[in-house]
Amino acid sequence: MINKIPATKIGMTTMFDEQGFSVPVTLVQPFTLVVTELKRPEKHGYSAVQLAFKETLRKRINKPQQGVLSKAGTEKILSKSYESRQDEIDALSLGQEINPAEVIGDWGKIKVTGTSKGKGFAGAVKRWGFRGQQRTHGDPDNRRPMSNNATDPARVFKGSRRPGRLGAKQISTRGLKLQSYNPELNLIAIKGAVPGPVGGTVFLTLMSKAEAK
Amino acid sequence: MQQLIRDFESAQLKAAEDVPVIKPGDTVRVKINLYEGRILPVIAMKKIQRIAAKGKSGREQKAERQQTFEGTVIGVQGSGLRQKFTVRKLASGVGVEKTFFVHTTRVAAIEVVRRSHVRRAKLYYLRDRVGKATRLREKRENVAKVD
Repeated sequence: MINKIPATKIGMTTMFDEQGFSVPVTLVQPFTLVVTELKRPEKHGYSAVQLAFKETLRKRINKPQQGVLSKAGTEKILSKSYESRQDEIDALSLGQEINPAEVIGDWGKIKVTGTSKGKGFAGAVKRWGFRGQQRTHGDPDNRRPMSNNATDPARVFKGSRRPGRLGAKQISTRGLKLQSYNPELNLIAIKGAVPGPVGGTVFLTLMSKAEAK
Repeated sequence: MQQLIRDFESAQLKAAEDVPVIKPGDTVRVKINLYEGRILPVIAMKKIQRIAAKGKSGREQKAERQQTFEGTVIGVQGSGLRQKFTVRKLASGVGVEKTFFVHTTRVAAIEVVRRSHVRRAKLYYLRDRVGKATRLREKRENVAKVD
């Protein structure tokens, strides 16, 4: 039905699979979704469904967002929107509420997209995995970037691996598997780690068959 | 959020009456569930479909077996869902140690046979000893208290 859902990252823990082996999982809590617009090829050039999530106060959303919500005819005050590109949109109607738990039932491999933790201005060893220099024999500073390029052009080539801002970028982890869903707590368990800090928003996307291979 | 994780974990814990208090020095009998191969449900389903397609319906997955492992608890690690204990025994003259999660379905039952008086949390010194030196003094009066 929907092939992309937002969720809050809760944190990592352990669970046991059917055979009692321990599995490392990340818990995420999906948002309830409201359909705010259906995009059709004849009007918009492509087929997608626009969904709103994350409840908030009325004073926290701006007039355009209020317009989007009132057009959809929903009572809820939702601050965020996103689009899920998909062909089957005829079963959906404006203002319809979607419980993500019903959507993910037959999902296989997924892609999890989030914003990675910001590391600030990082050196070349942390940012690019440089080996650094020897720690003994009087080396005064052993994490310097050292030589990077030829000296002949008398300038630095663009894209050189230098120290700089690291993290706080959109990162996708592909090929993760859904381990379980807990309906009482509304928690999805994903096998493995997902990008971003605890409390951050991540998007779970169903991978197409071609991508999954 | 930490509370959500705790709730998620506590939902998986075994009932308190199924799990005895395990301490270092205890002699325990652990019943282990053994499953045939590590078959995940998706693959198992495909296998069943493939077998059905070939018309070989006679091939069934073997039923799960149970195995008993009896020995001395030489250490308990972790707590809650991740609590593990290590059991050591002598099998045909060779020391064997197995570590189990307390709350996994692989461990069907834990029975405490005997409790001993020990002064260490980890009884790794037993690895260097053989025969009479591995005996531990039984803790008689406290058995009633713990149970």
